[in-house]
Amino acid sequence: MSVAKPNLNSKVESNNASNGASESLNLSSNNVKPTKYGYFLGCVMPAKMPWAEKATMIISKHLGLDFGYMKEALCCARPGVWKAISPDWWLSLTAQNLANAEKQGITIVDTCNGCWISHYEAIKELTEEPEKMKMVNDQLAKVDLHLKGDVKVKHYLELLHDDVGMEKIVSRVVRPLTGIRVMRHIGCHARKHDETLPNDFDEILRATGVEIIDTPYDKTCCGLLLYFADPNQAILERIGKKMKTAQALDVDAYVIICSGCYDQFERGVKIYRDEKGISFETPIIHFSELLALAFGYEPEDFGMTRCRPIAVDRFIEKVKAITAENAKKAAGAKEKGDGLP
Amino acid sequence: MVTAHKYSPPAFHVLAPRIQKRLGEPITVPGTDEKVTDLVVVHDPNKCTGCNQCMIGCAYKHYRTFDRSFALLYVNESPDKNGFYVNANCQHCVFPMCLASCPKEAIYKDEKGIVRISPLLCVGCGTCNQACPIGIPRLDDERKIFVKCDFCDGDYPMCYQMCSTGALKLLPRKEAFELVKKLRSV
Amino acid sequence: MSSEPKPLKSWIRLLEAGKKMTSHKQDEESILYPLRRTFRPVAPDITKGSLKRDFEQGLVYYVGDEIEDDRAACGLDRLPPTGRIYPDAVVKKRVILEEAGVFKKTAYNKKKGTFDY
Repeated sequence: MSVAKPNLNSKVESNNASNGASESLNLSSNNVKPTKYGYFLGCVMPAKMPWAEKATMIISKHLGLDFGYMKEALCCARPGVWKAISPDWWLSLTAQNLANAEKQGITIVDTCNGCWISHYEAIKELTEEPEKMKMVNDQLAKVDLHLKGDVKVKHYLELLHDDVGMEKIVSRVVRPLTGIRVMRHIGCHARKHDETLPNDFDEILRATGVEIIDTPYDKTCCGLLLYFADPNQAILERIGKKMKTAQALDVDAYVIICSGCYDQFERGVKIYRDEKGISFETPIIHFSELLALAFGYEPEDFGMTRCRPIAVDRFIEKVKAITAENAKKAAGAKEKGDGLP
Repeated sequence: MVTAHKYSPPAFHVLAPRIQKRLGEPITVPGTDEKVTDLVVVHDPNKCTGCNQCMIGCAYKHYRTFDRSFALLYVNESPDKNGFYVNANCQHCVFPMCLASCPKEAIYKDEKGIVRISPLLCVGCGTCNQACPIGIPRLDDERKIFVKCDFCDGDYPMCYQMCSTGALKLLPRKEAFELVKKLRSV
Repeated sequence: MSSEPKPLKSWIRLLEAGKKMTSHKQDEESILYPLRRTFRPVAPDITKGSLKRDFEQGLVYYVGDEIEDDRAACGLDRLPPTGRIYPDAVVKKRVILEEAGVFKKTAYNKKKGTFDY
């Protein structure tokens, strides 16, 4: 079977990219020099959580990282679906992203656990099995790409905890969010190897000063893939129980990191609102937003109120109240300090 | 002299069973030193998040559907403890109870050490389900026979490949036994 | 079973959408041939929607006009540097899909954008 080489100038019919898009393409490809860390966006992040994307960019710049976007990012080849259908296809599709990253000379950074595990496992499997590597490279050769296998993949938590270091993060916190009670959900894939990533997550959250509430449903999966198989279980037993617990404990926010999980949370909340008539009030926020707030940024800096299934107004009010209180305390301490001989 | 009227099945007897009620020579798994019969899938409930990807992967591999009721292993929330998930999966026992109980001798241990149910011989009586300590064989509604885990024909099992948290582990039987003992005592 | 709750409406919509983009109608066939066993395609109906978007745009979710406005309000570029502004990457992806035999096995009709079965 001979397949003609793709005409790289042609555009996909369905992808009606506007003129503005191609202008920004030229800008980004000519002027921006390649960065050390390439942020792999994935599917959900740009389409559903722009606030988290912006907050991640803000805190990465704030921490002095050489951090930019990975270009030509496609779907990570969702491991839940593609691995079940065929592990070989999953490898082929993931390899394109990996080869692109290798060509751009970046370390892939993922905030989505699904993307991270997809890249991590694929590169591991490909380097361990030369036959698979050959198969993948034969397919990549048709589109002028080649995968050597020395591309590095990092989870964003790993990057913050190991490369930046907790000391630096703690030193940058200017607005400790003491008094904010949160529940957190890290997601399944982050637990794959050991408890390192969950522990890093907790440590970074505590650095912002929030109080973490432990519940029995912390570990439970969001049910993203299960939604295909058994929607009732996925929504009622997983999201329903999580959000009801959050409601009962009256926590201020539900903190997540994985954008795949956010997709399912949003879907669950919408289904509860539209089909069951139950509206939850606990906002679901990304952990980079908490960090950005703790670093002294205002919610408007990353458009926190936009595009939300659950309004975050109450949370923002509380953060502002805490800031005012902190300022008062600081002023009081200063006065006391001045009064001393 | 009595010449016994011995029944000899014709050569074209398609139903000739491959009953092999003893452990054959185990075959090595490609890429490792382990033997297939040595390996078992064990579940660590402390790591399981109940994502059910194992069941979905299994259902897809064997039935090409994402409906998890087709799966050949079972993960469910524990009735006693919230947010805690328990599972039941075939251990391909050294001395399988299902094999011993089958009235049609439809269950056999093949040359790789995998306990299988022959779909041609099974009549769907359900004795294997009763005999199995964890009730692994289940009724296949379409074919009205009992089906059970076939260890993905000695390949890396799909449930193990799909597991999102590493709760399902592929371990040699001895190590698996140690792990289970450790988990039980805790 | 009657005791089980009904499937959610949005899930049924997703399934119906998957069935809609399939040329071969099994439901109609089963009326004519009631004893015929149901055929299960490589791509289950429920996944067809997301697979189609993945094949056509390279991503599962599309960045449309509303989200573009939201992105601009959040202080980002209107379009993300994904397959959305790099159509070449999507073309390459489709070649890889063709090479790996995904289109053939999932019976995806590239011209019509539907699944044959």
